[in-house]
Amino acid sequence: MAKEKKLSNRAEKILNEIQRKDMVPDSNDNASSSYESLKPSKLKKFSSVKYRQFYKKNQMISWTAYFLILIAIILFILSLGIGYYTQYDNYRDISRSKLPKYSADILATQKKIKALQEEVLAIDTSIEFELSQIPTFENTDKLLNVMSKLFEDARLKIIKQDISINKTPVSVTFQLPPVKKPIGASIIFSPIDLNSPSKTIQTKAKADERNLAEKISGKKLNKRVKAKAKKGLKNKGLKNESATALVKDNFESLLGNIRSMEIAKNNSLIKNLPKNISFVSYHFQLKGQYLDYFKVRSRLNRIYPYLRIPVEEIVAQENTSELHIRAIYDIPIQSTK
Amino acid sequence: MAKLTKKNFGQKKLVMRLTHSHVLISLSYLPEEFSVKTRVLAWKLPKVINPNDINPEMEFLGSFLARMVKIYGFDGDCVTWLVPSVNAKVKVINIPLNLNIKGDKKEFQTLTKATPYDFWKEYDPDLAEIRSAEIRSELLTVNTEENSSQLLYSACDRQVIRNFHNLSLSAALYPVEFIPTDQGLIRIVESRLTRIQRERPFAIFHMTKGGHRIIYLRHEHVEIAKVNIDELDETLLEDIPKLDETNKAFWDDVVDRITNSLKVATNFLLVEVQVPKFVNIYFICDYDNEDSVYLLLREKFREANLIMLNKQFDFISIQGHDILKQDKKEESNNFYSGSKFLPNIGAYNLSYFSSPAIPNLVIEKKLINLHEKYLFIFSNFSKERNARISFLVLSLILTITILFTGGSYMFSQINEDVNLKFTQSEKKLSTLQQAFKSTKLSSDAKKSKHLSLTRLMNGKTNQKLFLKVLQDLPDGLELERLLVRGNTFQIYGNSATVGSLNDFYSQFIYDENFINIKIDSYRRADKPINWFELVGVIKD
Repeated sequence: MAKEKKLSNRAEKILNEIQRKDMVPDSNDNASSSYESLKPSKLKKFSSVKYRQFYKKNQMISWTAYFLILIAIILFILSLGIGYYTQYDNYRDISRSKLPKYSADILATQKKIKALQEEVLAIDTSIEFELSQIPTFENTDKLLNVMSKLFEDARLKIIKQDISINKTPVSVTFQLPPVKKPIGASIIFSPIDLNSPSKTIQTKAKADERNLAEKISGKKLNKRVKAKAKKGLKNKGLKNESATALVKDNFESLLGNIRSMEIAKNNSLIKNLPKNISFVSYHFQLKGQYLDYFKVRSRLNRIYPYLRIPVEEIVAQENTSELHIRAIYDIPIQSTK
Repeated sequence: MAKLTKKNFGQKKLVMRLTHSHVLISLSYLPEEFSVKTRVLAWKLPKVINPNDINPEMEFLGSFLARMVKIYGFDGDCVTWLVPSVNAKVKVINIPLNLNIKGDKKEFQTLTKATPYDFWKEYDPDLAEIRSAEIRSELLTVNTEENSSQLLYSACDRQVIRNFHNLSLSAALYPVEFIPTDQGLIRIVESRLTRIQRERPFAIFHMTKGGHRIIYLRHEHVEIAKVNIDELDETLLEDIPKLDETNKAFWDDVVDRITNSLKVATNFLLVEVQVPKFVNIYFICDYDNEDSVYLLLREKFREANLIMLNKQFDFISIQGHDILKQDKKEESNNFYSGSKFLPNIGAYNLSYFSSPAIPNLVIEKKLINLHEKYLFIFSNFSKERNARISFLVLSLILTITILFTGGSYMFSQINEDVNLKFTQSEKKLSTLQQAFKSTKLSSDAKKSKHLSLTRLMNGKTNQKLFLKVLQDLPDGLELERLLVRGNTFQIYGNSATVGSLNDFYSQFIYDENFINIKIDSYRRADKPINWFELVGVIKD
């Protein structure tokens, strides 16, 4: 049927050529083994669209732009990621080490606070109780009466009394009577230092330089006080050994040093006391027996537990059985106003 | 015989050229000092065509080429076409502009951009016959005295380029380069010469249907002289057999005529054009059985040495056997000896094994690409693979980055309550520490208060001393004075014996209520008794 249809010259020519192309010439016979074997994976395929794209413009510009955009996106996301990771790492660190430590610290602090609060409560109770034992200002008369009555009932003769009410505890200012040491039996040996037998004479001399106040109180005095005492000694020209013995016995200089310490101590004492606390200072001189004085002292301590006695002196006199007693009683009172 | 492994192909490129009877395809170029290995394919056309005018044969060639491409799996490959010399002549043109001078260069650029056709028509008379052309030029030298420049120039009718373009597309190939055959020829021939040969002028005789010519080349000059061979002789050459006694006389006559034409062309170059004398002419032939022509031509042509370079080339055919099994078939019959592939090889990036004292500027110029989009089409295709790989790598990195960021975000969100807890704990701890400090301060103040109150009870504390004196005063000891100051005490007295004195002292030192006890005693001079002084501290 197709043969019956007459073709144009050009169409006939093309048909002939197409038919001829199938007649593969001799040299093309073995083409079956094909070049494709050289291309293990033929991924690329002809695409007219791709050619048009590549023909149209320089793809390098758009590729570069895409690369830059991609890199920018990657960097942006990466920076976000690093940020989140850092945050996560921080959180992990918190949850692993910091949070348990903080929780433990919180618990420990809570416990400490609770213990402290309990302690404060106990102290409060204690303070309250202690304050309840301190007589009130209104009861000062009664207090003095009780004291004088106690002394008199105990057959202690009150020779002299001074009573004053102060805001601060009393600091001893009066001179104590000097102690006159008897003369010791003579001996050829020098005195023996039992405290430090192995020390050299020089060390002993140095040790002797220790202030008597230090010796007695067992506390160190500050250098200024010591220097002052030393200067005082020099002024008195007591340089020889006997003079030193006399100075050592001079309890006044010792008391002078102690006094200054005591003032400081008193100041610190009143600083922490309630503001409404005052002191009834009862300075008295008595004559009587030791046992009687002891009894009165004991009873007073029971009645007024807060009895402060900064100084007490009991001196026996020759040719009499009565003792001379001098004491200062500092009794704290509290005003209700 | 050459052995080519899959990895040892050298430079790869699909280069095609049309001859009257074949599509000549070269696929690779592997140069060595004394030989060049190249994989080739000669796809025989079912009929003889005019390679200089393929327009009438477009449909036939398109379908024929498509079949070949399909069989050999070339589809989707980029192709470089060698444009016949008749269509794209390579010339050296003199223009009266010094292109080293900025002004002249600018003028040249303006003229070649605005009205290229009109500008070049003045220097290339062949352009007059063409309606529109692809024109390329490269600066060779500048003559400062004459203010002129020599350019390597080539122009081609756009229609010819379009024909090759369409032919490629219809065969599922991407056309990316259209190189003038002359340039391919001179590049490959020059690359295989010795250093001395390269420094001297030489010529190439290319026998190709409708375009027989001698190409003369020296350092900065190219001249082409047409060799007029009769159409009848051309037709005869298409079927030249192996020479023997029976046909030698006939072919002697034919080659005589060709030799005469060759002599005329040579004389034209030497006498008319007045090129310096050359001694070597390299013979390239597109016809089969080129050896027959070459042998006869060498006998008859004595003006110069006619040389064939075929021995330097191993043309390895991929036709008819698997190239991967090449090493097992060393004695293959599929190795061509044809010099017709040589122009194709000139389209690769050539390697040189000698360095001439005077470099050849024509050779040094890059390949002239007559493709309409020559500025980017080749780079678009050649860099596509790298771009794809880069995109793939970047996409992979992006995916990993997204996963990493997503994961980090997810984990950080999950653990965000940890941070909240931590902040709360921090605040709570700080508050508690403040509370602890204030409670401690309050406690300390109260303790001090309590201590101060306790210190007010020293009367009770000192009672221990009075009781001690009362209870533990030994016999034979009498006190003279008792002094209590704060919690420090001093006792003076006398004792009958030192023993009783020591007893008294012992009572104190073994009592925990007293500390720092010291005693000082001595025998009195006035009485037979011992005076003593006992000092110490009453413990709170």
